[in-house]
Amino acid sequence: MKRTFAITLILALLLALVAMPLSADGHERWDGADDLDVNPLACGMGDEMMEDDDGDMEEEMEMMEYDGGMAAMGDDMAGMDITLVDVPKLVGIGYFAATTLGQQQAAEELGNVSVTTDAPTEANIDDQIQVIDSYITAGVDGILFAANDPVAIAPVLRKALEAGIHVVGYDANSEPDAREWFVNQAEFNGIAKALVDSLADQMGADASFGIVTSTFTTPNQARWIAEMWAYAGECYPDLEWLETLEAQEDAVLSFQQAQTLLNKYGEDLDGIFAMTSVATPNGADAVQQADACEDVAVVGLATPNGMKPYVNSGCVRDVILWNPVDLGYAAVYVMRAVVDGEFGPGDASVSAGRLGDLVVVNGSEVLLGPPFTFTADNINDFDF
Amino acid sequence: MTDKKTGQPIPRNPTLGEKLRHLLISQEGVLFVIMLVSVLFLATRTDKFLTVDNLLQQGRFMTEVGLIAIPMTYIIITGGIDLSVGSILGLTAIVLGWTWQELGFPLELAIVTGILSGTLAGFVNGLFIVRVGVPPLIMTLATLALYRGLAEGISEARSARGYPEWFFQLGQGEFLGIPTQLWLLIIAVIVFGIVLARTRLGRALYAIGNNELGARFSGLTVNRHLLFIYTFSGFMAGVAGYIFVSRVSTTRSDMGTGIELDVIAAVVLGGTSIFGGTGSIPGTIIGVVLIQLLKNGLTLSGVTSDATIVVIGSVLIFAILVNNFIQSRREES
Amino acid sequence: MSDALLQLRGIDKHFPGVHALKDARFDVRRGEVHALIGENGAGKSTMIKIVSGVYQPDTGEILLDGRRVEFSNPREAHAAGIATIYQELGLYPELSVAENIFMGHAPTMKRFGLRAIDWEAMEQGAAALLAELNIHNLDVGAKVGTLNVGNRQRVEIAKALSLDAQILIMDEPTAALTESDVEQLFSIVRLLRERGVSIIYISHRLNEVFELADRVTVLRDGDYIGTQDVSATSEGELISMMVGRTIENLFPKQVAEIGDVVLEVRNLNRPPLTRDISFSVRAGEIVGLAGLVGSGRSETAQVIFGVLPAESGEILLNGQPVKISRPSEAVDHGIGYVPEDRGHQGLIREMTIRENTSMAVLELVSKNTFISRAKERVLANHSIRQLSIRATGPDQTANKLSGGNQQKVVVSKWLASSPKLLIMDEPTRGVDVGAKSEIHRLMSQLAAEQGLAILMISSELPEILGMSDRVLVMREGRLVGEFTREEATQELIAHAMMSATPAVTSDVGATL
Ligand SMILES: Nc1ncnc2c1ncn2[C@@H]1O[C@H](COP(=O)(O)OP(=O)(O)OP(=O)(O)O)[C@@H](O)[C@H]1O
Ligand SMILES: [Mg+2]
Repeated sequence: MKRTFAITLILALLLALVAMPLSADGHERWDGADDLDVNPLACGMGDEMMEDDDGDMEEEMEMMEYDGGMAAMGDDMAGMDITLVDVPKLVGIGYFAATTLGQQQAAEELGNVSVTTDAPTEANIDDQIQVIDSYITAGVDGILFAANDPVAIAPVLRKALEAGIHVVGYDANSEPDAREWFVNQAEFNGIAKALVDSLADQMGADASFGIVTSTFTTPNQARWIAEMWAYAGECYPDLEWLETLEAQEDAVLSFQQAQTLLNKYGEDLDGIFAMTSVATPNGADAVQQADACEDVAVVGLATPNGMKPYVNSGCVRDVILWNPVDLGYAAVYVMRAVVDGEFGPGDASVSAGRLGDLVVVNGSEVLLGPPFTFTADNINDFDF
Repeated sequence: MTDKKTGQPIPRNPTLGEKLRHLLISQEGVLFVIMLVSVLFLATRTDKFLTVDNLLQQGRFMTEVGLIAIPMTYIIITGGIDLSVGSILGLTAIVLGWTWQELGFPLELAIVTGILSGTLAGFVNGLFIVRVGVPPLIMTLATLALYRGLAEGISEARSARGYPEWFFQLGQGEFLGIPTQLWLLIIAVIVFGIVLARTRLGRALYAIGNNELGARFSGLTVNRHLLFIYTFSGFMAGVAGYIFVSRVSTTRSDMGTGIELDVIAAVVLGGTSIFGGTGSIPGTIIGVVLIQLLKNGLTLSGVTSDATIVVIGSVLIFAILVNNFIQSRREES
Repeated sequence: MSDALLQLRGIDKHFPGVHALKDARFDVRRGEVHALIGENGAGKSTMIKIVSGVYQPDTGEILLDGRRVEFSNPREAHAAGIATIYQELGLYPELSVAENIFMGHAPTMKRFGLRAIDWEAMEQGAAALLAELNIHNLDVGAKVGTLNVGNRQRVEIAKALSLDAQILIMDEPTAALTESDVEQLFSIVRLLRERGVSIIYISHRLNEVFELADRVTVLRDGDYIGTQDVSATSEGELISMMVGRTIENLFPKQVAEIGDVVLEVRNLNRPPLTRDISFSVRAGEIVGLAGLVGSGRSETAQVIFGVLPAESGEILLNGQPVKISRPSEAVDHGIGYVPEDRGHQGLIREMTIRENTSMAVLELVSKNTFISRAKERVLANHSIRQLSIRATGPDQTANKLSGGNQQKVVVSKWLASSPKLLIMDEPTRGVDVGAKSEIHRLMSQLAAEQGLAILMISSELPEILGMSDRVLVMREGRLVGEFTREEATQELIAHAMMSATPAVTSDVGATL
């Protein structure tokens, strides 16, 4: 009986451990948000606003000094053939297949760049570090990366810089000094605004919603949720956040988590924010299967191919994203410009082939542009 | 412990040559040869592979898996399994970071607390397995989810960063030109290898794995041994968690996800039977090294990661087949 | 020999370090019971495993019905009409009687275009087979794990016959049976013989050979010694053929000085098989515990040894009350237990003789927790010599030993622990006459010279009568009789075992 008691005690202790942090200080931010500073954009609807923002931002950001790192001096490769390795978070998903496609397009256009994509098949920080480390040893001219963790990846990127390898990030950033430039697909506040505006427009400014994200710690998602929280707080104070659920980047789990929201909140649920390109189509699928397209709006980030069935069937109105093909394309152009010595600290913009000139923001980031909204009108024009 | 002397006429002492032959056709010997062949092959594909720097760097990367593989070998020898080690690693990391950053513990104390919570997590596994009789697979599958959930609950999505410089010595520093953590692994391998091969504890583990009932009937304290090894597994996962945080400079609740599969693959590759009863630490460590070198060497020679997994899987199957073949031939002759 | 159904000629078989059969010969006529006897490790099991396709001979030939045959696996032997019941029973405890009988060749039928098992036909077939053997009260749907040993064996026989065997091989079938089960087995064997089935019968019990067999073949050390008509030979002749010498005394009982009470149990309870048991064993005393299989003897032993801790009652060792809740505590208190089931409880069969003999005395062969292999080897070599274990050496794995030699390893393991109280559960099961007398001599000697207290469970009444200073009898979980060595007779004990009211075994089909 003593044993039973001991076991119960330990279980209770464990439960207490789980419960404690959860019940500690009431949440100020929504679950899944990070606790960094937020910078919500001005309230308002529509694309015109976004375009206006561009100008604003440019001015604002120009004040910041370059805070990226520097590659050690190596051979001058200006204009020569270079070999790049691209290490996204993982391989085998449509999103990074699209960035890879963009990189290949750029490489082909430039003619003096070759890029190989190699990454773990799961978004695992340690595997990613090891892959990069191996390529440093193998010797490449440049590394393109999308970080699984901004801090964990930093040492190995610094090692690359020290070895004279150029480092440019895209999609998910690292600590700034661990790379030279980061191609920012869209600023967090811009995406946040587009998402929240779309939901409020579809379901009203007093809608209740849940969020399906990857994990609470994934940097991009955490940032977006924080900015959404900030923007909604200022512009739509009556929006009601219900719950954030984690679904990694897993299709089955995403579907189940969306179902969980539908079942748990029933009538009360007006919308679902899907924060990953996996969660959005699977969330939409869950809603469609539950016959709830009229009552629940799915707004999320996704690639168009995955969303075509739901957008074309009318179940989903807006899909928010940037163009990942352009993102990969821009990353290669930035890398080429860096290697050629045409783009460096202090420059305000960089020319990126068919995308024209891209502006520098936040010291050492290159902004791809405003987010893009796919609707039934345009989604069929895209194939990625 | 596959016996190296079965079938040998007893009276004569074996000559050195014979001993060498026996070593060569033992499980570990065969595996070692496979490893050598792989290394040589990889070395011909790229000159970046067989360099001291690269090999030491691989040693750094494999330390966590190696440390966890030691108790995993013990556990699998008894016919059990511990799937929760990756989650315990994550839990340890989070407790370390959380007690330091949120609760304001001195970092030294936070490290100890982290490792202790890992040990406690392993102890809980053992307690349920031994006292309540939950099968290890079920129990540790449950705690795989539970401990990960705990880690996520405690961390609240925040990662603890900004450790002082000395903290990184273990994970990123060097001692006498060799990655610091690698020393730890080397010492652990020697000590726990001897424990398994030479002590009463080791003997008891083999006995339990071959025939738990028989071990009980022989008066061995089976429960105590099982409780110990699961606790030990939690402890080692905790130490690995500390090293991991020190290596990557941050704590995240998803740390160590999936590491249990790497560990189990290495242990099984190293000749430990998943049904229990046989296995050794030298075998396990060769398994760990082989997998790490394959991963690295293949990447260096231009094979991408997804293809690498296929190659490693094939080597695993190949090694097991070759070993089965040689061991059965050995029994016959 | 033209009337031979099966003939083996010039059979040689080597195992690593062992020449198990040397130019051995053997033949079986149609419809005869042919006994195969010899010491432990003589090669009997090896011989029949060659017949049944488990092993292939290095040289030599097998003739079936005058034609040369080669079996590369048991399936082929099966197909040729040779069925085997091995020393270690080989059924699936979780499956039903019918499923076990038809394992691998279940009757099938077409259903939805697929071949499916025809369960009804299978159960009917199983019942019919059992009926042919005069077994009428065995539920074909019962799980085999719930049956007693005798019934399991009947299932094995039925399984063998489901294949229309013309040769049935039985390796020590009676080793684990009660007297009444033995009787039933004999009647089944006779029935089969009448139907023209040939039976190869291995046993260490010579009385069975005389009761059942038509001819007998003796092996010694892998050599073929000879074949005799049973009617033309004697026990003494067979023993000297087997052992190469004569054995004077099977039960070399020494007079021992009976000392203080070593073990006393009071009102020990763990229903259903241990009820209110009280008795004592003194130093130097051998107490025999008799009873039918299933009467609770082993269970009571396991209560004392801590495997099945008592629900109530007291255990006193040397007058001190002790609490024993697991075997390790019993061992710490100086109790040893040679269990009934050597394969599962007694041995770790995958480990070596050396590792097995030291298993209960690891402290003695180690220094600061480091095991000394040299000390272990000394211990193992001592055991090998003491009980003449036939092995290539201390580093041979236990499962490579013949059945009887495995049993000797278990006995030596517990002798090595120099216990104060030794509980022996069927200590000489499957052990040949020579070794049996050796184990008996050792028991006597240890009791007389070292004051060891021995509690011996045995189903062999001659062993009980020959070795015990006192005899206890159990029935249905209770002690129902106690006799001094002088009082005890076969009739008295048998009577107490069976009791006035016929024993209701918990199992079906105990009586025909
Ligand atoms: N698989 C094996 N590997 C090595 N040696 C073996 C193997 N099987 C049997 N032996 C050896 O062959 C010899 C004959 O063994 P076998 O089992 O035929 O004896 P047996 O006559 O059946 O004895 P018992 O009466 O004890 O059952 C023994 O010395 C045994 O150790
Ligand atoms: Mg035998």
